[in-house]
Amino acid sequence: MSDVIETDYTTDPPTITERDFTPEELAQREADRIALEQAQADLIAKQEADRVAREAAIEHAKSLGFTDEMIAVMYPNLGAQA
Amino acid sequence: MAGSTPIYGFPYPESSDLVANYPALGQDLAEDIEGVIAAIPPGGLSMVNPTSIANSGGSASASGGQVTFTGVSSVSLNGVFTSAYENYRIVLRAFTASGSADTNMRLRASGTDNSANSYIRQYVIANAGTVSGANVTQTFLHVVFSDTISGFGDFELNRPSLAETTQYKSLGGRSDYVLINTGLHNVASAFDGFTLYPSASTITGNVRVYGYKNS
Repeated sequence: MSDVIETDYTTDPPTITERDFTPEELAQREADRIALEQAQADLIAKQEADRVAREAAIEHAKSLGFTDEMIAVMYPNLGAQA
Repeated sequence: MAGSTPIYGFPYPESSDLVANYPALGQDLAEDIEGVIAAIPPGGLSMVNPTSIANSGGSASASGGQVTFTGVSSVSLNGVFTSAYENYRIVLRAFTASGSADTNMRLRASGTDNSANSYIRQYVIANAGTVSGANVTQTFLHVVFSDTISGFGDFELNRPSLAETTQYKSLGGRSDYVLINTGLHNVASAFDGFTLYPSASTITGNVRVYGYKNS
C-alpha cells in the first residue's frame, strides 16, 4: 500500500494518485518521532523532580512546626492532606 | 422564447411564449432563485472547499466542504487559503484509535508542510483543577487534545495566504483537558493549506474550513 493518497477535486471525477513518502517527508517523520520521545522523557523527568521538591517542601514545613492542616491552607498546590 | 435577466440569468416569459410554457418557466425561475439564496453565506462565513486533499494511512474524502478522515496518521487540505479571505476558521473533530494524543497542525504551501521551528504560542492548559501555561516555539501548532472518545476544537488564522506572518488563536480539547493558544507562525510566507496529524496513534473525524467575509 502506498504511503500517501492524494485526491484532486478539480477534476470530475476526482483524480486519485498514490505515492510513497518523499525523502524529505521521511526525514520529517523521523525528526518528529525523536522530538516526541525527547519531550516525553523531559516531562517524566520534570514530574519526578516536582514530586521530590514537593515532598521536601512539606517535610521542611513540618520541621518548622507547621501541621498538615496549616500546610494545606498556606500552600494548597503542595498536595498536603489537611 | 423566454428572456433572461442580465446578472443572474433568471428566466422570464415574453409575449411570444405560449401560456402552456408558464409552469415550467415558473419552476426554472423558482429553482434559480433558491440556488442564489442558498449560496449567500450566513453570518459572514463561507465554507471553503479544498482543491485537493492528501492522507497518509487510513482514508479521507471531501464532500460539500467537509473533509472526513478515518484512521489517518496525517491529513492535508490544499487550496483552502486564498486571497478571497483574510481570516479563516477551522472546525475540527479528531478522535484517536487508541490512547491519548496531541492533534497538531502545520501550515502548507504547494503540497509541502512548513516545519520550521517558528510556531510561537502562549498556551493555557486546564486539567481538572490544575491550570498551567507556557510560551513555546515549536515546529508545529498543537490545537486539540484527543483520545478515543473526544477531541474537538476550532482555530482561527489571520492572513495565511499572504506573504506575512500568520497569526492564530485556538480553543480545543477533550473531556478532561482544555487547550487555549494565541500566537503566530513567524514565517513571512504565503500558505494555501494545512496538515493535521496526531502525535501518536491515528485520528478519525472531520474538519471544515470557513472564510470570514472581508466586507
